[in-house]
Amino acid sequence: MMRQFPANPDLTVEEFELNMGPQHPSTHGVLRLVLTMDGERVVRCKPVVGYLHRSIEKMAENRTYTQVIPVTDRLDYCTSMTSNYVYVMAVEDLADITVPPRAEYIRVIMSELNRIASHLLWYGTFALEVGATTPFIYGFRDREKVLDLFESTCGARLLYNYLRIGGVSRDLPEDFCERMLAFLDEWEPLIREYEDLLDENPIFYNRTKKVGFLSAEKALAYGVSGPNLRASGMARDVRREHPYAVYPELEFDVPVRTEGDVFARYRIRMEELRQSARILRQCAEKLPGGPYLEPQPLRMVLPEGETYVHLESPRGDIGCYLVSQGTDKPYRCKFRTPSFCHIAVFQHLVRDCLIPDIMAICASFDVVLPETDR
Amino acid sequence: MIYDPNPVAFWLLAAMVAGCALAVVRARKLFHAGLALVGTLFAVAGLYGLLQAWFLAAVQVLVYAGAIAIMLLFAIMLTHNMMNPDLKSLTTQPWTAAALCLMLLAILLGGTLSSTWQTAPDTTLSPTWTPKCGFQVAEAIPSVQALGFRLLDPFTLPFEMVSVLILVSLIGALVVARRNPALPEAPEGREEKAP
Amino acid sequence: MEPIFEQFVRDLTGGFQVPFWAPMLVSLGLVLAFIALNAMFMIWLERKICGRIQRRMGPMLTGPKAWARFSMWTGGWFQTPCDSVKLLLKEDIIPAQVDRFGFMLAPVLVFMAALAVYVPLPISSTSYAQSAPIVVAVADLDIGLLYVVAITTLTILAILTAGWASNNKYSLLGGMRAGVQILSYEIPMLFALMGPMVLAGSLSLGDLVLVQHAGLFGVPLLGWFLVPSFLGAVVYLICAVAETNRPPFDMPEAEQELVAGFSTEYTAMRFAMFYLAEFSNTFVVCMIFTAVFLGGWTLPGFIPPSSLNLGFFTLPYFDLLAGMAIFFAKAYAVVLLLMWIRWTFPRLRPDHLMTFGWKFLLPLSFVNLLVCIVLAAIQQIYFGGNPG
Repeated sequence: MMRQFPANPDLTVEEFELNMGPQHPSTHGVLRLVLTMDGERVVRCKPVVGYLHRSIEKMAENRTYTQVIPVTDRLDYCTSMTSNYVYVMAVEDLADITVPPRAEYIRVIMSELNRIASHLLWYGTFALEVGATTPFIYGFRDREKVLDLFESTCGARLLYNYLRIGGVSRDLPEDFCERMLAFLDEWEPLIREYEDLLDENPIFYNRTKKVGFLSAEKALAYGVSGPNLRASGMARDVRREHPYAVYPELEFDVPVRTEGDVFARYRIRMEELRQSARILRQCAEKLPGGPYLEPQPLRMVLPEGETYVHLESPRGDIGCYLVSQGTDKPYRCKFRTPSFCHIAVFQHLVRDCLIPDIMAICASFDVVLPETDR
Repeated sequence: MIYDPNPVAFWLLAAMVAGCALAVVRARKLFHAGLALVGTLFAVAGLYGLLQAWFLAAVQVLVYAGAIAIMLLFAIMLTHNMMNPDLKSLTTQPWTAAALCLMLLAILLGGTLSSTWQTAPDTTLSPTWTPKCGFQVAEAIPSVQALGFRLLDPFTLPFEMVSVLILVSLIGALVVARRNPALPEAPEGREEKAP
Repeated sequence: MEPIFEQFVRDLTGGFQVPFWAPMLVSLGLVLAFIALNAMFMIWLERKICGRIQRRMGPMLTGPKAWARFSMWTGGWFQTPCDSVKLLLKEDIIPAQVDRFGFMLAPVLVFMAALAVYVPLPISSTSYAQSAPIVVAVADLDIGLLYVVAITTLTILAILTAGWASNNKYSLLGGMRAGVQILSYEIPMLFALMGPMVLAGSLSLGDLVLVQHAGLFGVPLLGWFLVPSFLGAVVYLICAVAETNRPPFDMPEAEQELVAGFSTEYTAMRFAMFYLAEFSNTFVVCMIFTAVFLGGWTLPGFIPPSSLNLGFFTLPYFDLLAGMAIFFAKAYAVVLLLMWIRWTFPRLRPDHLMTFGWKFLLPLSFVNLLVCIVLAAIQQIYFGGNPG
C-alpha cells in the first residue's frame, strides 16, 4: 500500500505489516494484532482473537448445572470468583433460589477481594507495558496476600470453584475477618505507594495523558463497560444500577473521570482499589451468622425458561444468558464478557499511534484473553 | 624529534582503504556497500592517526564514519526490498566512467608528485637515518590547541563564513522538510481528538 | 601505560627492556579481563540492586550456601559465571534468512567499540620513581574525550547492522530506533562535555582530572567540574544513559514493544557480546563521568605517597593503588545511581525522547557551555591563567 506525501506527490511511502502476537512479550496471552505500519506509526490495527478458544459455552451444555461451575473458573482466570458468581446467579435466578444472607456477604467479600487481586495484577502488568519494572513486583507482592486469604477459604489460589448454587462451598475460616482487616490495614497505605511510583513521573504522565482517547458515545456504542467506561465520563456500575446481593446495603462511591485516556483508566482502577477496601470493611462489620449454603440436589433440574443476569467484574459488565428446557443441563449458556468489547473498540484507538502507545492502550483496557475467546 | 610511522600499520591501513573502496563498488547488496564505505572512512581515519593528526582522525570518525555514513545506511535500510540479492548497481556507461576515473587518477597523481610536501626539517635527521615508510613527519605539537589558535587567529573569517553556510543549509533543510501547513493532513487523520 | 609497564618490568627483572608490542598486548589482555570480570560483577550487582528496590533478594542459590545464609548481599555470587557458561554452551543459531555477513559482523563490531573506548580512560596516576606523576591509562590521548565520542558511532553502526541483517521487522525497528537515538543524543552529550573542555583547556581525560585537582578560583572542591558545570553533568548523565540503551531509554530493545529489538534473532555468545558490550559501555560512561565531573582518581587535599611503608614491607605504587580505589569507588557510585534510575522509571516514547533531546537537553547544554566559558574567563583573568 503506497501513501503519497501531500506536500510532494512524487514521494511515496510504503506501509508494512507487522504481526504482533500471538506470541509476543506484551499481549497478555495470545492476542494477535495485525498492524499496518508506516514506520513507527500505526495505520491500521486488526485484532485476531480466538487462539484461546476452549468452547466453554458448548462444554456447559453437556454438563449438569453444578458441573458447569468449575468450567466458569477458566472464563477469566484473573477473577474466577466473579465468573463463578455470574453463573450461579443465573441458575439461582432461574430456579428461584434464595441465598442465605451470610452467603451473600461472603460472595461480596470474595468479589471485592478478587477485584483487588485483579486490579493489582493489572497495575503490575500495565506498568510493565509502559516500561516500569518495579511496580510489577509491588503489585504481585500484595496480590499474593489476597491469594493467601483465598487459599485459607477455599484451598485454591487461582481457580477457586468456591461458589455453589445456593451459597458457597464452605464457610469462612474462623479468623478470616480479623486476617482480612489486618491485611486491609497493612495494604491500604500501600495504594499511595503504587501511585507514588507512577503518578507524578513525567515520563509516565507523558506516555498516558491524551493517549488512547475514548469518547463516551463511542464507548457506549461498542459496549465498553466497567472502569474503562467510567474513565470516559459515564458513571455506570452494575453494582449501582442493577444492584445484586447486598450491595444496596453498602456504602461506596463509583469513581468517574472524564478524560477518557489511558491515565484516566489508570486512576479509576486506583480509586476502585480504595472503594473495594471500603466495601470490605463494611462487610466484615455486617457479616451475619447463619448457614452459608442452601443445599441443592447434586443433579438439579431447572424449570423451563431463560434469564439474563449480569454483575460488575473487575473488568466490567459480565453477563450470563441461561436457557433451560427443563432438564438437568443448560440448553444454552452464553457469557457476555467485557474484554471482547474492549478489544473491539481498542483497534480504533491505536490508529495514528506509535508502537509504545499500542502497548499502553492495550494494557489500559485490562484485556484478558481467555475471557475474550471463552 | 622525528616521528616515524610504523610501516606495517601503514600498509595494513592502506590495503584496508583500497580493499574497502573496491568493495563499495563491487558489493552485491547496497547495505554491504555502505558498510564497506564506513570501513574506508575508518581506515582513512587510521591513516590520519598514523600521521599523529589525532584531532583530524577523531573528526573523520565522528563526522564521516559516524554521522554521514550512518545517514546513508539509514536511507539504504529504508529502501524497498533491501534484502533482495538481485539488486545490482547499474553500469550503463562503463567506458565513460573508466575514462573519467582515469582522468581523476591522472590529476591526483600529477598533483601528488608535483607538489612539495612539508616534512620534518632535514637538520634533525642523522645522516644514516632513512625513513621506513618513505616519509616522515614532525613530532606533533598538541594538535587541538594549535588548530584552535589557527582557527581563531588567521582564519577567523573563513571559519565564520563556513559556520554561516552550515546555518543556512540547516535552515534550508528545515524549510524543505517541513510539512506545508496550507495543505491538508495525511488522508487518515486521527478519528477523534482528545478534548 | 607504556612507561609504567616498562618501569615495572625493569624493577622486577633488573633492567629488562620490553619489546614495543608488549605493553599493547598486556593492556589488551588487562582491558579484556576487566570487561569480562567487571560485567559479571555488574550484572550480579544489578540483579541485587533490582531485587532490593523490588523488595526481593535477587539470585541467592548459586554459590556457597553458607554465604547466602549470612545476608542477601553475599548470596548468589556464582550466578553470572554460571550464566556465562550457559551462554557459551548454548547453540549458536544463524537463521536461514538473515544476511550472514552482517549478522556475524555486528556482534564483533559492537564488542570492538566497547573495547576500543577504554584506550584513553585514566584510572589513576603514579609518580613512583618518576619526577612528575604519570597518568595511568592505556594511552592518555591528546583528544581523549573526542575519541570516546567518536568511537560510540561504531556502536550505532553495529546496532544498525544487527537490525538490518537480522531480516526481522522488530530488529529493523530496534536498529533504527537505536541509530536515531544514539545519533541525536551524541550532540547534547558533546556540548555538555564541552564545558569541562573549556574549563580545562584540554581534551585529554588525564589533563581534565589534573585540572580538577588543581581547583577552580583556588578552591579545591570547586574544581570538580560537577560544581561549575553542573548542568553539563546532568545532561551528560542523561545522554550517557540514552547512549548505552539503558532504561528508561531502552527503546531499541524495549521488550514489551519490540520483543528484544535488534538482538531478537541473536543467541548464545553472539547475544552475549551485545549484552557484555552494553554493560561495559555502561561502566565506561560512569568512568567518563568520574573522570570529567568527579575529579577522577583524586580527592581534594589528598595526595597519596608513591610508596607506603608498612614497617615490614614497603608497598610500591601506593599512589597508583589508592588512585584506582578512589576512581572505582566513584565510578561505582555513578553505576548505583544509574541502576536506581533504571529500576524506578517507566520507558520513554521514541518521539518524546527526540523532543527531550533536541528541545531540552541541547539548549541546556548550550547554557552550560556559556556558564563554563564565563567561569573559565574569570579564572584566566583573576587567578592567573588557565590551570591546564
